[in-house]
Amino acid sequence: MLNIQNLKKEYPGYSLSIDQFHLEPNSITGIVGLNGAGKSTLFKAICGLIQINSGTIELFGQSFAEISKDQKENLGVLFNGATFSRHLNISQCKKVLKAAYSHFDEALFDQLCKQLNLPYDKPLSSFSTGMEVRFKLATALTHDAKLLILDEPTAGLDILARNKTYECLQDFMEKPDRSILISSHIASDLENLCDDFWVIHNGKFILHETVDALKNQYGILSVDAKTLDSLDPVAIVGIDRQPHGIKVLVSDRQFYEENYPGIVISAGNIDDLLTILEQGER
Amino acid sequence: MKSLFILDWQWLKSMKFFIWIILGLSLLYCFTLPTLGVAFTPIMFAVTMSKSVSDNLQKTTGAYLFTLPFTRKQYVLEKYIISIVPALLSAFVIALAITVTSSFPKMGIPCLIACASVILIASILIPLTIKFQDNGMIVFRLLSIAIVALVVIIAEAFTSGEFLNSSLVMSPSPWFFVMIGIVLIMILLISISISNRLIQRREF
Repeated sequence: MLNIQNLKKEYPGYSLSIDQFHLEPNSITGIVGLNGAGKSTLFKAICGLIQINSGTIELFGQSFAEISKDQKENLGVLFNGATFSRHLNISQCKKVLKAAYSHFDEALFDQLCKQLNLPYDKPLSSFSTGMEVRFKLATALTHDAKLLILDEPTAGLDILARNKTYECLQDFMEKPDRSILISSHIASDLENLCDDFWVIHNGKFILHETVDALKNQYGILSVDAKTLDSLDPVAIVGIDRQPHGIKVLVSDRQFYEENYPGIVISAGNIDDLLTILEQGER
Repeated sequence: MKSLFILDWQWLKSMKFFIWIILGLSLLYCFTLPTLGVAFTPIMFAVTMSKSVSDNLQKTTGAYLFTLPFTRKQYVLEKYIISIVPALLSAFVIALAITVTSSFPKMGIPCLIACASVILIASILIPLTIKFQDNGMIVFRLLSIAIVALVVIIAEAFTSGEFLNSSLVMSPSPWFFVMIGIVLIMILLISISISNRLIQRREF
C-alpha cells in the first residue's frame, strides 16, 4: 500500500529522515509523537504537498516525483487545519467533490453528514472545530479511497463524537484492501483503533510495535535508583528519572514479573511509552 | 479539472456583490465612454481571477485543495482558462452590443486591445500570484488597473477620426495582426511554463 525508503526532507533547523516505513493493506497504523516531531511533514510528503530532498515514496505500487491524479483518487485525507475555502457550505463542497472523484458516493456522503449532524447550508466559517473535523472525515470517507491519511482526526471532538469517528473508520475498514494511517495525541485513538504504531521523534522513527505487543508484553516498572541498578537491562527500552521515582519501560513485562516479584509493574500504554521515550534515556 | 471550474464558479458566486459592481460600472461606461465599457469588464475579470489563485494557495486551503485528484499542471491550465476565456467572451459580447449604436471599427479595435490586455494581465498576474500570493499583489493589481486606464487612452487614440482614416486601419496588413497574435501566444506560453514551474515548487 505504502512504502517509504530513505526519505529526507530538510528544513532550516529540522529534518525528517525516514529510513524505512511500510503500510500493509487491511491495516490501521498509528504514528505517535510530540508536536513538531514530524508527523504532519511525513503525511504531507506522502500526499505530495511538499517536495522531498531524497528517497522514494511508493504509493499503491508506484513511486512518484509528483503524485498522480489516479493516486490521489485512492487517497482520503484529513489534515488538521486544512479544509475547503471557508466561504463554501457543504452543498457547494459536495458539488466540487462529485466532480473531483470518479467514485464519489453521494448517498453515503449525505448519510454521513446526517449521522454526524452537519448542516448543509451554513458556510464552513461558521462551523465549530468539531463540526469541521467531522466534515473533513465525511469528505475523506465517501469516494472509495484505498488509503486514509488522518492527521489528528479526533482533535477537538468530545467523547461521543470520537466514538462515532471510530465507528466510521471501522465501517471503512470492512471493505478489503483498505488501510488507514493515523496520527494522534490521544492514546485511545491508537490503542482502540490501530494494529501497530510508529513512534517518531525529531524527524526519525525510534520505535515500531504492534498494539497487542504494547498491551500484552510491554510494561512500566516503577522503581527507585537502587532497584534500577539491580535490574537486568535485557528488555529495558527506556528510563525516565523523575523526582518522585523512576519509570522504566520494558518490552518483556513477564520477565520482570517473574524475576522481580516485588516491583510494581503496570501494563504498557502509549502515553507512558511516549513520555518515557521522549523525556527519558533510551 | 471540472472540479476546479466548479470551485471557481462557487468562488465567483461568493464575490457576487463585487461582480455586480463591475458589471454596473461597465454598463455605465458603455453609455458614457464606450471604449472603456468594452475594456473594463474583461480586464477587471482577469484581475479578479488572480485573487482566486491567491485564495487557493493559502496554506490551509491549499493543503486540502491539492490533495484532490488533479495535477498541478491541470490547476495552472484551469486558472489561465478561467481568467482569459470568459473575459475574452465578455469583450466580444460587449463590443458587439455597443456596435448596434456605434461603428464596428470604432468598437472592434478597443475589443482587440481589451483581449490583448486580458491575455497580458493573466500572463503577468497568475505567475506573480503563485509566487508572491498576496504579498505585493496589491501593487500588481493597481498596476493592472493602471493598464486599464492606458488601454482606454490608447483605444481612444486608435478610434479617433484621424487614425480611422489612416492607412493602418483603412487597409491593415493581416500580417500585423498575425504578428501581434503570435507575440501574445508566445507570452502566454512562457507565462504558463513559468507558472507550472512555480506551482511545482509550491509547498503547503
